[in-house]
Amino acid sequence: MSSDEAASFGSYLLGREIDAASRAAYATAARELAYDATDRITEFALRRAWSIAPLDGALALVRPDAPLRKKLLLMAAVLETRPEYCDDFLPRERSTRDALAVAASVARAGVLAAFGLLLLPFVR
Amino acid sequence: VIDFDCIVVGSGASGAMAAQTLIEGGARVAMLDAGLRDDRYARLIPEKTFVDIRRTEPEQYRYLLGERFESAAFRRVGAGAQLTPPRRFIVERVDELLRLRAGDFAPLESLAFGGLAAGWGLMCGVYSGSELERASLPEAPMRAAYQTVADRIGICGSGDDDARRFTVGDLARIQPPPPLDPTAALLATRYQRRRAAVNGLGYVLGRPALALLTQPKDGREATRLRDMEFYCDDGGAAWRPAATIARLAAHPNFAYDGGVLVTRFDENDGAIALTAFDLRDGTLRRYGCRRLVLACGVFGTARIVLRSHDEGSHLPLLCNDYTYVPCLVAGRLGRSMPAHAQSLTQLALFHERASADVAVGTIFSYRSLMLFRLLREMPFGVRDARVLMQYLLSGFVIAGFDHPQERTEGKRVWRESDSSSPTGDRLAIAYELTPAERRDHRTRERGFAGVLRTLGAWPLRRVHPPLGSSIHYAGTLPYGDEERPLTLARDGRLHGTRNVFVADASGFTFLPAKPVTLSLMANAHRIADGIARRP
Repeated sequence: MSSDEAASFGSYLLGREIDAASRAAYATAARELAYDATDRITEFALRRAWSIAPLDGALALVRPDAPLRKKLLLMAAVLETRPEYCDDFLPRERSTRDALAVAASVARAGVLAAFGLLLLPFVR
Repeated sequence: VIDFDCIVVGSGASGAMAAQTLIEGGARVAMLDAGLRDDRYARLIPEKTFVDIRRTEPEQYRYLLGERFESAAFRRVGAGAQLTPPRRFIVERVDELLRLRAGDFAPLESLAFGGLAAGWGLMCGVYSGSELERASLPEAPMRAAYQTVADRIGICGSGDDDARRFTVGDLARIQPPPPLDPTAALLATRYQRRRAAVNGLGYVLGRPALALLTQPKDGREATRLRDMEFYCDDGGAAWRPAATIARLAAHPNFAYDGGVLVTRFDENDGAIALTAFDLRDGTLRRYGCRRLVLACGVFGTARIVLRSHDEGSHLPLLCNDYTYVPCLVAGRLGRSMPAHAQSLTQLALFHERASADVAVGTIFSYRSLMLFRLLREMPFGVRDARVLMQYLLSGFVIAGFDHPQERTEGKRVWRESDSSSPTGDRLAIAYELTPAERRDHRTRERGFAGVLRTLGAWPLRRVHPPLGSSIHYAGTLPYGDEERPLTLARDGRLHGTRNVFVADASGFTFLPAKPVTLSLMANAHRIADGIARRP
């Protein structure tokens, strides 16, 4: 279960497939921290990968310590300490055009969170 | 029973300084200490910069997240939240052995070798004459003691900026400060441009004094700017009590006994008998000495004194109220960060209303702590927060504000029985700011935030961690001239005893906002020097 979770969460966080070692590291970390248990929101998100982003965005506003968020943050922590993915977390030189892309992603995050807030009552 | 001239209880900043002074004064000294150490992480950390580690080390999770990923657990902000896995030994076994009932007050205590100073932020500050007077510390001996301690530990700082009188004061032989990182350098440049306006509001900005070597000293190396201060000590450049105790260990008059928790003392005709709990096998051990120096931190000392001398009294308590403010420096967004830097306080901002009423702001760049810690505080999904923070991080700084504290009725500590505790008791703490203090602190924080905006650092929000999070404690056994129980004579002697001395911050009757560690080391030296001169 954790390995499938890791694959879904990893590709959501980075926008690409993550390697087997990172999936295994997530599974170990989830076991160590007793994050194995899941809830309806996480189950829903894992069955429908498109829903992870809106649910994550909505939970960040209304329930930041929800199990789905904890698992996503754990995945982020695991990936952050993998040399293969550190450039996705370290600060980088960005151009003005990049800044516009970042602004667009923040705007998209707002839209996704709004959708997630509408979705949450049905998922719960 | 083992007999010594002097026993120093505790291996923290005060204990290390007191022991060194006593040894140099010719005494035979034993140091008793719980002495828990990191036996896992220090050896795992390679000699590379933080960025090199991130890019090349496949096993980095072991010390960045912890071997059991404990640092990745979702945790609320509070005392000790900043401790990285290699520093977690500082609070090991505290919940089990140092029982506490403190409500919303969240102090940090330690049973570690080096005490809380095994992980302190290295920032130093010299108290002004008025601050010393309000804290009941004698000015001339303290000035001399500051210099002695600075010469022992090595302090870097700026001898010629506006904040000098709050940081290094008149100290001589100060090493040059480390280079500023680009974000702090930008703030410092803006300060120079808007200096008159900022000074007009009562604020000055400067380089902090740090117990960090920028030049080699006494076998310790200068900092290599690996940006690993939150994880390791970089060749001894950062002063920790372990450095001093390692040197003392080579002296024939010094003995260190780790693995014991001193619980009480009894004085009979001037001779001291100590009872300690052996942490290795749970047995009781006894020690004897002619003079006892308690230097186990304000709460540790209070526990021992209350067990030994009193059953029901309430002691006063002082703790700086602390607030922090994440800020964005717009001119640094989307820029790269240099690999070689240090993660300690970059700049210090002081607000002086009167000479004993100085509040302190410290400015850090968020460099070598992990990004996921910030992601969980963001009101965005984790993916979008990551993309956004990767862009913002180079301009992200944390400003912390400390307020001076004075005694009021609502700040106290006492001892209660607790049958589940290995020592049969616990400390209880009540700590409430008065409404006037709260109003004053919030007003002052708004002032600090305004100055940060003037410098181009835009505050995002104010975070008020629980009281106790500043990790600066004092005032439980106040200095006084009257021979009253549970107070100290000016020379550190516990009233009602002949040969029991307290060398930590328990005696301070006022707690300035400046970082306390240098002053408590200077005071420990002052008290130990007085003991060494006794017949």
